[in-house]
Amino acid sequence: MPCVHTLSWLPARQPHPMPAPHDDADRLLARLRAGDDAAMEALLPLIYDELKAIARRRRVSERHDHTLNTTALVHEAFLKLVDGTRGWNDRLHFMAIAARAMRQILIDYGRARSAQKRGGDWVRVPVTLAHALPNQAEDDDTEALERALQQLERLSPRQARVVECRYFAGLTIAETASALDLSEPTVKRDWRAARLWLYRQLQPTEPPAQP
Amino acid sequence: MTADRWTRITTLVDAALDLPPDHRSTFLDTACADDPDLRREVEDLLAADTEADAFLEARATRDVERLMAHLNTPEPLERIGPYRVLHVLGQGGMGTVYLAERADGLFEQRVAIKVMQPQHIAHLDRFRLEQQVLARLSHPHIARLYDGGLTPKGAPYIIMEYVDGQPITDFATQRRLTTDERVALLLSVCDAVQYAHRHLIIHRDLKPSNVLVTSEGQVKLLDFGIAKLMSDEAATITQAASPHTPRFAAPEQHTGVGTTTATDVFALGGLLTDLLPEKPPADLYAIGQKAQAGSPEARYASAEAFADDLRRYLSRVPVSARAHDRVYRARRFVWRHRLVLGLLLLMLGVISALSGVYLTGLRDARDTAQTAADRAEEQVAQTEAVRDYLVDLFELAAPGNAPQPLTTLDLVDRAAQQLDSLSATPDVRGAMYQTLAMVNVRLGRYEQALDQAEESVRQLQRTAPVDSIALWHARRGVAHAAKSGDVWDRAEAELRPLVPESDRLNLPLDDRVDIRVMLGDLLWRQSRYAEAEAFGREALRVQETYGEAISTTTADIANDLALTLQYQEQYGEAERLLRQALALRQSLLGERHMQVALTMNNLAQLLSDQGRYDDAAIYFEHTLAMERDLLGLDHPQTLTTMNNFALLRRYQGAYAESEVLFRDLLDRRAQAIGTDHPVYAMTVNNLAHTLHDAKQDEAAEQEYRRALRLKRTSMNAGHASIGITLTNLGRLLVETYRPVEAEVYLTEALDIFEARFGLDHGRTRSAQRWLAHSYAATGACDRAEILATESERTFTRTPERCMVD
Repeated sequence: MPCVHTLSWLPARQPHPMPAPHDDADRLLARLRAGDDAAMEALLPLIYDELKAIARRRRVSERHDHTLNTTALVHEAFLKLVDGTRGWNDRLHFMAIAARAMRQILIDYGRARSAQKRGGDWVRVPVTLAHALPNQAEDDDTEALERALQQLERLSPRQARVVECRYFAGLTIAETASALDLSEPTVKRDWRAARLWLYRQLQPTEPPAQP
Repeated sequence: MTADRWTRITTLVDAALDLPPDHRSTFLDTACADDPDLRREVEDLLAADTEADAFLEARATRDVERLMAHLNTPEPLERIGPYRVLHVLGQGGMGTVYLAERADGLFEQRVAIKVMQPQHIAHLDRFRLEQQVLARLSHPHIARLYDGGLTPKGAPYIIMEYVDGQPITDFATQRRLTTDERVALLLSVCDAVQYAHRHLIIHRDLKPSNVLVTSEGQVKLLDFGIAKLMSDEAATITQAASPHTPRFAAPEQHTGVGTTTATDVFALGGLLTDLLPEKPPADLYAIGQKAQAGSPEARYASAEAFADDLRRYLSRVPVSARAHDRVYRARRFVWRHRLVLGLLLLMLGVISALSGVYLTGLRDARDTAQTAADRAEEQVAQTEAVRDYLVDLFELAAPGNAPQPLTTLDLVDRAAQQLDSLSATPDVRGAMYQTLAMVNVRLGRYEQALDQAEESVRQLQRTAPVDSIALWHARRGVAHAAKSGDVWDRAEAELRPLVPESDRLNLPLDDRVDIRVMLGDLLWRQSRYAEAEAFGREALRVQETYGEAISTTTADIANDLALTLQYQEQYGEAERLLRQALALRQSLLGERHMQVALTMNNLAQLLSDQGRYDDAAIYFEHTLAMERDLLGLDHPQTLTTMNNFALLRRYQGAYAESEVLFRDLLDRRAQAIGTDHPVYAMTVNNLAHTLHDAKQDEAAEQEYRRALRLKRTSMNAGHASIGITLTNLGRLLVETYRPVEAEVYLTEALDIFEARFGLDHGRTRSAQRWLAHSYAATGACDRAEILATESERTFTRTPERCMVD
């Protein structure tokens, strides 16, 4: 067709990709559901960042409300990261991972605190910032929790997951079962034992003296 | 402990918990009969049952609390990106500002870095987005935002231009500025705020500490839009923790109803109040009060309106803020009717001039005593008749004598009605009709103007002997009214004979040049550029041969001639003429004059037409600033420049900005001239074109179609401007694979352009080529090829783009 050749400068329309804000977490979640465990590793840092962001905001808006609900926190992260039209099952899968992220944040907190106690790189800082450091008198038992969880992981990885879901994400027995693809009786049994064990591990070694 | 053993314990605990507490011991006796250690471990766990849940719940809550505390910890800073932190400049509710310098020694540059407390930041994506928007703000009175990011610990920061200055209020006090100087300083602030508002950015936190003035007196606004980077909660908390002084924070910021540009207007009012002495001049007090009205609707509609009032104050013109004041209203009445009052004075001038003619006539003609007495009597009668007429008008115009305040239009109409019954000689009546016609042209009432101009000609033809010169002027008035009302055939028919007659009557040079310029302009408006060019050149020749070469008239002619050349793509000579006109106007009228602005706009447009966009942008910005100060933003001339500037932004690829400018322009034009004016239609075409370039095809198509509809009703058939929209729409249809419909429009466009410009013109070629595309797409290959070959043959290197009005 000679005329096509002559008119080779007919405008070509450029398709331009539309980046979707939830794409990453969404896609990873789909991969996870399809059995790709590597997706979880990729998803974790995303959720970690989001949780931190939400936690920061919550700190501001609920500074006088001590009954902060971890479920709500994780839920918010889900809504931020994942397409809201996704089903309840995806939501729970997400929460199981989010619970892990929460655990990671708490570990970081413990590390930061011990660094401060040792006088880390804070001292040379020429500027003083507005906010006070966390209360130094607090019991430093975040490490104890992590140690306990690691022990539990060795005894029963499944129970460690159940504890994460219940403790960090505030999921119910039924929700935890869905999130971890377990039966409800299994979760119930795991939780019953694990929580008692956890309690024993976290008990202060020297209870306060009674008058 | 092994995993197996733990599994056993788990099973036992579960089973035991299902039993009533007093049955558990018996159960364990059996289950752990052979393993006392196992039994002890299980019992130990079971004993915790009553406390474990409460303990863990409390513990989980506390852990999350700690986690928050952790995230809330500020981090130390020594280095941010390539910058070394020097010291703290200041601290606010939202974060800390540091002075920093480049650590790599590449540049000697100091910057201010604002590190925000992480918890005050909303979603990070939003932070990044906003930061990018803010980084595009480039204005001499706004501290630049260079960059932003997150510190390793996740605290968001922004790097800004470091401003070494003091708060505006301190500056004013220290330098002992006069009230006018303070207002002028605040106008710079308004300028920056307006600029930002045009870019859809609201400051939200204007206060003296954010408005710095350098030692050179340069105003710099800090933290533009930074408040927007904050989460809503953060903003609320910040306000609760450190309440803004009520002078700067608008009520809606406290109630959280939502911030708009009116929020900044409120803060500007606060700045004004702070800058003024305790007992400010009444006008300024009123301006401050209006800006700080409780409800946003009662404030100035924009920072610009606020600034306009300040400018009115500076030029001692009535300010709008005092519009309801009674004495003030009376003064404003005079202001509003200045046109009519001017008209009345003009009439008085006409009368006294005519009287002068009579008196001279008396002396020179040495009339008989009887004639002289008659003449004197007649003159007295004329003067009295006209005086009564004027007094009537004045009385009518006086406040309180009419049921409703008379508009200017009412007054002009009344003047015309009474003129019919005025007993005066034809020459007096003719002069007065001519004056009224001029006024109506200025009011945009062209039909009345044309009627009155014609009436003035009729009156003057009745004089005996006919005063040819007065008649020439009256006919020029008819031409003027017709031309202004776009009755082009009539205007041309009137104008053409006036050119040779002006020479024959040996009229003053200005008139002879002016009539040629007028005819040239008329032809130019009809896109008859070659003919227009001929008259432009003749006008220039007459002026340069018989008149003053260094004159504003030469500048006027050169300016107009350049436009006819520009439209014929003769850019070199056009630029030479425009620069000549610009230099003349600048030296004769001063650097800041609306005529200077006009030529500068034309020059910028010429540069833009040649693709010299950066140069063009400089001239446009200069022009706009001048016109805004001299004429205000709603003046037609300013609007034209805005249109051209918006076009330039599109050429530069800044589509979003171009669209915003065009939409703003359309609003202003709809207000000023209505939507059925040809210029409005042209602006719609230009908006559509920006949308087209921005690949918003659907919106573009909709606007092109609207433009076409409007042009067909407001312009003569075959107008080049209609061809432009036809071509653009046709092109869009080709691009979106609708060649059949495209062909219809492009064929019509080609007919229009060929008739107007001939084949060898960019517009004709463009229409031809797109028509070729549509033929090709419908399979009419041979027709396409012929047309394409023809178009290629005449095609020189013109950038391919849509056409603009």
